[in-house]
Amino acid sequence: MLELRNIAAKVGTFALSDISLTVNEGSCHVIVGATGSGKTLLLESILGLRKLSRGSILLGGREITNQPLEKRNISYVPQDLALFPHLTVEDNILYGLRMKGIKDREHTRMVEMLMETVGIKDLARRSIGNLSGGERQRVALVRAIAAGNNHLLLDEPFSALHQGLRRELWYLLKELQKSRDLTVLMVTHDIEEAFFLGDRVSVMIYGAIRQSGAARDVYEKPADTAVARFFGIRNIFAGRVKVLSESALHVACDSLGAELTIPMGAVLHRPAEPGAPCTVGIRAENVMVLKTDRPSYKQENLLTGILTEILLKGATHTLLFRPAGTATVVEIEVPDYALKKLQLNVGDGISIFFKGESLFLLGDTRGKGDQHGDDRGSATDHSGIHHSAGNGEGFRVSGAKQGNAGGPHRPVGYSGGRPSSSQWGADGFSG
Amino acid sequence: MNLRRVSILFAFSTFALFAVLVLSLLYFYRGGLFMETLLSERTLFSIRLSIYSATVAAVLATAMAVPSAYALSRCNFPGKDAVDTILELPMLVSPAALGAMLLIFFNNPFGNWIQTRGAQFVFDSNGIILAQFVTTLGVATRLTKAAMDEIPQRYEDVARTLGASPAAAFFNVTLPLCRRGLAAAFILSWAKAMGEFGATITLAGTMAMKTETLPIAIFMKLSTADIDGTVVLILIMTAIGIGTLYTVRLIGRKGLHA
Repeated sequence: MLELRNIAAKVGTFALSDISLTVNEGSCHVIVGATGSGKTLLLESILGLRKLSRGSILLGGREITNQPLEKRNISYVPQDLALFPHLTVEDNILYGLRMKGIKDREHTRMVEMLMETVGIKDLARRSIGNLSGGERQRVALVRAIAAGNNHLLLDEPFSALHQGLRRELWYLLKELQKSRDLTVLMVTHDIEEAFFLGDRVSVMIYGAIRQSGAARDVYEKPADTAVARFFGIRNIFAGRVKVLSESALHVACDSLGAELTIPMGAVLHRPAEPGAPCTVGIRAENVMVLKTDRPSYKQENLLTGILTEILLKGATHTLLFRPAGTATVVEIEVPDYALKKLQLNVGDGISIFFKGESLFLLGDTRGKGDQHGDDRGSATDHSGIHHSAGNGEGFRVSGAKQGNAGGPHRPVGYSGGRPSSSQWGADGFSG
Repeated sequence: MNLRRVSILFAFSTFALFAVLVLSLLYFYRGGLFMETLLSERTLFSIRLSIYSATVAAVLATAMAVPSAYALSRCNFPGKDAVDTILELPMLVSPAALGAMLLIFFNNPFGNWIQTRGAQFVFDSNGIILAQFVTTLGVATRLTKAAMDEIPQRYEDVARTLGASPAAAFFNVTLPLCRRGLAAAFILSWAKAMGEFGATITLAGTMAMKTETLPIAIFMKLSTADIDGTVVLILIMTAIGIGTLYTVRLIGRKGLHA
């Protein structure tokens, strides 16, 4: 188990502030953050390459804060992999064992098996310069594991690869991590990678961990606007708590011209009191579309308005919707097959539905004592964070973009997100 | 005429300049004298002394350059800028001034103590090595540092995460990776030491069969107006220098690829 306790480090004017994190034994914890958010600095601080100004690091309960790098027993795969170019693949991989003076046949066989598992056994005599990108990543992973350290720090090791190869290596890493019971702390800017690989995920923004938790929780319930924005969520609306009951939270959202109902069980942050301002968000894929000519028995979280734009992408498409009587734009993501099945045109009057459990309350206006997660880092708001949703308008598009103007238009089908078929019945398309 | 042709023209002009200088020696070249001078005991001594002292000086300079270049390349420490700046001292002051500084040093009490208790340097062959070492140390350090700067620190960091001590990481990773740069530093130091004249003559003097290196022998021949003899010695020195450098370069191409 790797534990970071309130660590802080500074490089120039950039600082890591008060980071606490626990990577459980045999689990993969991914820190996701934009370029320049301090991810590499954090890994370097854990390794001891950067001096901590505060805090401590524990490995398996043993403090290693002041241990020299080679005594920490943490392997590291940097972004550029740092494979030794003057050594062959085999010599790179055996470097750790040789440095530790381990020569027994058992270890050598273990390394051979590892190379075979990863598919690089035939490359043993090759020089590093003659390897492809994917082969290099494999060698770097095997070298890190072969050194006998159970703890691995990975710094965006797949960022230089194309999507197909990257996915292949995700599976490989996941398999290695589970089968060898490795404790992995990985940093990446790739959100998909983070949720694919991470048992737990932390979001890092400007040198601070803004949210930490089980991957699913972090994905479904971003803690605050900055995190939601980082995930690319644009449906963020300001509102005011109307009713706060045991079972549900009712939020009046003037920008949507509607009242939203969120089941209490789905609320991560409990708002202070009725009348308090709050911010509500929903992922575009969780917004569902209904044609207004179809009867709907759902009245909660239902909005009517105009389909203003259809943006074709690939496997999924983006629809822009403007609730009646407002200038707010709601983003909806629909799968390709759904778009094809239902006939929609720009300018159509449609209804959209927010599934209550998919709505999340952002913690920007939370009351005291709220927690993002059990191993949350500092939740201090940074002045640099972009709070563009503060006005509660979601995002706006210019007048020219609304209505029928602009964008590729064609008749489309309907659906957003992942509704269950039973829930939707004849109302709409089941995702 | 495009850029490529112009640049190649300049490269050949440089070659031509030096080639003309070498070829002009042939105007005074006398075949019989060449072998006679080459095989004379005094010339052979000068050749041996030059090669020996230049090799020892270059080895010592490179050996000292490696750790200091590592410190300058990898570490931050108080006085780093001062160390870095003073590397250029041998280039800033003339070789004669450098020799004079050495001579003056051995005339102060501490230098005198070294002379009486330790090794003799003034007017001694040790002085040749010392003069050449001092002249080449700055260049060797500068070139070695440049070679180490090219090797990312990341390699050593990763080696250490794999269990290597800082020293092991340096010897197993950084040093082999900068071997080309290191070889270049040694070769240039050796060439500079071979041609060193000013500091050598000031500290070690011009004693035949004792401190007479090839450059000094050339100077002595010229000072006695023996142009033919001078030409022969210059040709010998040119052949040794260029032959050695060319051979090392060939070996480097085959075996020192990083």
